[in-house]
Amino acid sequence: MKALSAVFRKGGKYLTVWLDYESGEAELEFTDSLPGRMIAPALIGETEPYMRIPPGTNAVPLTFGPAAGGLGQAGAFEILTYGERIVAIRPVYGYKGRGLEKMMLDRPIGESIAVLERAAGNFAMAYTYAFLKAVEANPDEDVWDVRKALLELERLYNHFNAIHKLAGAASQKVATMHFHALEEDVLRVFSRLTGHRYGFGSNLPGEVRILEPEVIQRLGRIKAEFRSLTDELLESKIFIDRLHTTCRLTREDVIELDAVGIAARGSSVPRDVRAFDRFYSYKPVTYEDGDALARLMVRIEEVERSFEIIEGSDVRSVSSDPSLKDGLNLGLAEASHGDVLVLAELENERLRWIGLRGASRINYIAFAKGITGNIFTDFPFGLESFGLNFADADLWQGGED
Amino acid sequence: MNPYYLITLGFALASLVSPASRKLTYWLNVALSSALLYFLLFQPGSIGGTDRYFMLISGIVWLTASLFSLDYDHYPKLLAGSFSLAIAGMMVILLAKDAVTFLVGWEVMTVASYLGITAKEREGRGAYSFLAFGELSALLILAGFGLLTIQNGSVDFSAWKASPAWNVAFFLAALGFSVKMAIFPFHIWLPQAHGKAPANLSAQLSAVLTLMGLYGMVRLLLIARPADWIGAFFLLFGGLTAILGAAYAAGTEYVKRLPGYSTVENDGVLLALFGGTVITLNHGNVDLASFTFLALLFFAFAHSVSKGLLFLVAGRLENGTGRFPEVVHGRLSLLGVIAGYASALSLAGIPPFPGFLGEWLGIESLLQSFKIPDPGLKVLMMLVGSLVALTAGIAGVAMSKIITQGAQRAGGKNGYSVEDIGYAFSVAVLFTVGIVPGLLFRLINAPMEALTGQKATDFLGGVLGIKEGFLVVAKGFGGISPTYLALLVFIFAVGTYIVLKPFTKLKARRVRAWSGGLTNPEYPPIAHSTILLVTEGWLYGTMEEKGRLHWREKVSTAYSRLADGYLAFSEWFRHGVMRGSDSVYVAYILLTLIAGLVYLLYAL
Amino acid sequence: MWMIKGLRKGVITSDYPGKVSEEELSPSFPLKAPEECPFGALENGSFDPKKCISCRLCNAPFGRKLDVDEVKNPLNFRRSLHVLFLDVGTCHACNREVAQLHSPYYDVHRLGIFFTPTPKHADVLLVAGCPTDGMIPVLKEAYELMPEPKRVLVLGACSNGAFCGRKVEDFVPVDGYVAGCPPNPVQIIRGLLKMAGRDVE
Repeated sequence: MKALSAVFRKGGKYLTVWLDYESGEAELEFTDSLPGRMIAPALIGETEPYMRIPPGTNAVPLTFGPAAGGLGQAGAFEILTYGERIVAIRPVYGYKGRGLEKMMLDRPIGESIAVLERAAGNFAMAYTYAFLKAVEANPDEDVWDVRKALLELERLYNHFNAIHKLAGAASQKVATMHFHALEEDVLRVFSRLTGHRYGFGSNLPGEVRILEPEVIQRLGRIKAEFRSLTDELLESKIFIDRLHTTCRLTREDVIELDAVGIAARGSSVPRDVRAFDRFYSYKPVTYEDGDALARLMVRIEEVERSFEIIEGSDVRSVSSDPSLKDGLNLGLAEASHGDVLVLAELENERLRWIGLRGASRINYIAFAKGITGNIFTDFPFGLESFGLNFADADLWQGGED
Repeated sequence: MNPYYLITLGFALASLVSPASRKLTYWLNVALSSALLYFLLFQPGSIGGTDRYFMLISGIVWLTASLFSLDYDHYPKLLAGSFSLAIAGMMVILLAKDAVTFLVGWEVMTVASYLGITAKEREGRGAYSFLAFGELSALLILAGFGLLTIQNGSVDFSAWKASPAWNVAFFLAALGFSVKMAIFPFHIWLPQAHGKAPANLSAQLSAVLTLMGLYGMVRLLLIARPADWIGAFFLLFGGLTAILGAAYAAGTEYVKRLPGYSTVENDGVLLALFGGTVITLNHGNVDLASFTFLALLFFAFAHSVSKGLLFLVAGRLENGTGRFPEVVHGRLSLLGVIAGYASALSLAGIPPFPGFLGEWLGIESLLQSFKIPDPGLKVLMMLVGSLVALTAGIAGVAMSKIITQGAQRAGGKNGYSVEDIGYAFSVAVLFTVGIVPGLLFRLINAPMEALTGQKATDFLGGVLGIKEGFLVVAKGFGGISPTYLALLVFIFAVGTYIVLKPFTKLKARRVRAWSGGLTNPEYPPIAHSTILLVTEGWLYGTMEEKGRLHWREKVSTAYSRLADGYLAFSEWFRHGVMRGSDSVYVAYILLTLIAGLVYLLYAL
Repeated sequence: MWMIKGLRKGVITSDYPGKVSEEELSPSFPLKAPEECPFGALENGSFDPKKCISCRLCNAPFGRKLDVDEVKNPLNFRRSLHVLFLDVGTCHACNREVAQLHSPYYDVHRLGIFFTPTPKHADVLLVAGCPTDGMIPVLKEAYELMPEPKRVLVLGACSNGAFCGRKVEDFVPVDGYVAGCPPNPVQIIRGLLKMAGRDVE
């Protein structure tokens, strides 16, 4: 079934991208008006339509953010509440609009990649994966094998961070610190492996630069530690209870909102672009319940799969043909929270137009749908179970409209 | 001539003046209340100790309310007249020496108040339910008094003594008095009526009218003790009333209903303490009985004065449909805001106000139930004591709501007016009695001696550093000193400020509140109560529909159904039985004839 | 069971400010001034490390560097510093690095550094990110609401104008800089300790 994946503006019209998650086919369409899907306004950055204030309400809209200690980033939620309960909620995008997309244009491609990595730092590997997927003319199997390993490594530390945040919200003080330390372990692996804790500068067209490949051995210990910590954490009934039935998204909600990534997979909709990526042989992990607990279980299962994939890759520095293909091309990559989409138009090996769609842009709306009707104390559980961030939600396009 | 009779007459005459000039009526009320207080405090004359105490409380409220009414009354002239007449009725009750005068005063008070409530509320439903329950209480009191009159052969209170039917008569009369004090399940009229009445009348209704109920019960208790079961009944129902009143006060969205429910709560506590007094008297525990009685009388004082003041302030807060979000800025001067704080804090049981000591005395007395030999009563009294303690906590939520969403928001009026004199007076009374409660204890000596032979001042002592007379003692159990507590607060808070002010060189810079970097509206008033409304939905019948949170009291719903059922029956009777056609009536005549003939046949 | 796990894991906290290990720094800082910089860190021939984003597209030799900070105006709050972290437009990597300060590896509480969510309790405003239109009023509001004495420590290359041409310095007075993209946690700690007035190498 086709989902609306991105909406940009190009040549005075709306450029919509439809993605079929079963076949992997993407369809680009130029239309005059916004498509009729519910997620369309969010994809162009407008979230007002998602806040429905019921008439005659005695609730008051409050803004949580943009410098809220609980969120820790420049983003806000507008919440309608009469006290304990969230009656309606919408994310407020725009606080992180830095104009980076324009900075990527008309530069040597290495510089464009440097800017793209710094668009969403903790999803840098995913964005460069998607970008290079779109623009590389002759992809080399070995190079992509290492790129795949780096992407999975990034997925690891993001999942550890999500579990750390969930445990922290439930005041599992010891567990949260253990997972935080695990995340730091992976960042140190990255640092030794690529020379940068977040892997910036390791991916260039046709090559991948690895400094100390033997560091990958450390993952064995990290895996054993992860398994032991997760077993212990999942024994805590209090922790499980806080996640169970919190922020529930039904299958119908997911399909209606075209949700991606963990939000979809936690509600038994198998949306994962690795399923049709030719460098992977992957079957999506899904869980049924659609609550925060299901999403946590999806993450735990995916961590196991990531370890397998990394162990099966030969991680080392590889170089190959750096030539790029001109024209408008689409690239997809599955970041830890959902798929990111890059639509790049090159001319003479320089970017003329770039469109970026982060998974957070869609999944924040799915979160808003799920958290409606919950009470405030369940807010952090719902939010952290998605693993999103606003930097990734505020990316759109650069180039002529 | 007895000055009190003159004052009563004065109030009655003042009500007659009202069609000519409202202000004159109220000024007369002010003068008469002041005169009353003067006589009570300095030249009491031959008035009985109990009467004197209750009249003192009433006088304080009357004075404050009259001063307030001068600027407040923009209603039909009926209000001023009924205000004054109701006071006259209450004076008659307080001075009555026999049952008939008492009942006359009672009726005058009820009917005059009813007329006053209709001055504001056009549809009259709240006023009508006030009258209905008022008459129910009058009927029960009449039944009780009637029984006693027959038993003792005279209407004079002095001729009544304990007799075989004492318990039944006492119960009937006390039930009547407690309906006036809004005992569960006869309490729904109070928040409605007091919420809809004009504020000056509401203050009088809540503070003094319900006090009359207590007065009646105390009067009867001073004649003779009733049985244990009566004490247990009031203990239990008093506790239930208290917790329900507190819970609903904390949840209500209407500004004037909050103090109304709070009255239900406080009267519940008074009833529970009354029950406790009866039980402890019956089991020969004189110390505990005196202590409980002291708690009863002191709590009544604390409640009446603070509630009267709170209703007056609430009258100024009320705006539009009377809900909390509609409270506007600029209705209260600084004194008004202080009055709002003082009265609400006293009702919440915070020192240095009398409510604090009243709450302490009440809970302390109920939790000494281990001194009673009977195991069932012991447990009951202790349970009710814990219920009263829980009530105090929930009342804190209610009172913080009316402070933060009410008094705090309505300040900012420039200049002072006559009502501020009333506020200042009441606040001064609250502070004085709160800090030096011993002054009031001297006035409680007389009624307590009449009941148990002990004096209230016996419960004042001194220990360690506390000077003799400033420590309130529950003999062999505990003690507290509001005076020293107030002194400590003063030294630390005010003293620190005074000492540091000349020495600090740092300048203060005023900045906005931090709200994530933007400005946010304040939390809606309903959010104050939502924690209770959502978690205790079973108690409130909370409904969250279409983004709207609302609730309705279940007992109210039950009464509405009852009323609707009765109306339906009435309609059926009107249309079904009493049809307008002659043939049907002829049929009825024939049926009656046949029935009469059949009866005669059987009888003969 | 958690106790056994904890005991088995042992103490993993960094020894900084005693000594810093290789694990804690990444080898992505130019050890010598490069000859060219596509992102404007070279101005009139002099290299401004505050603007370096570690893209490694220049041809300088790279390595691990700790002293990438410059604190002009320290406080004298040596053992107790309260910090408000304000994100005015980061890519989220700086947020993660600052969050890592509370992990068992770095544990800033042992150094007397505490993070608070409100400016009214803060001594230092730690700003990261490229100031966006929406966040500039928030930045100014946070700065104004802080009580004296207060300082502003700027974190990362973004906030020094490497990307969007806007610098935090344009909006509030700045007392210290920590360079990096993102700065490593120990580099951030060093900046904070210097801001607290402590001597660190």
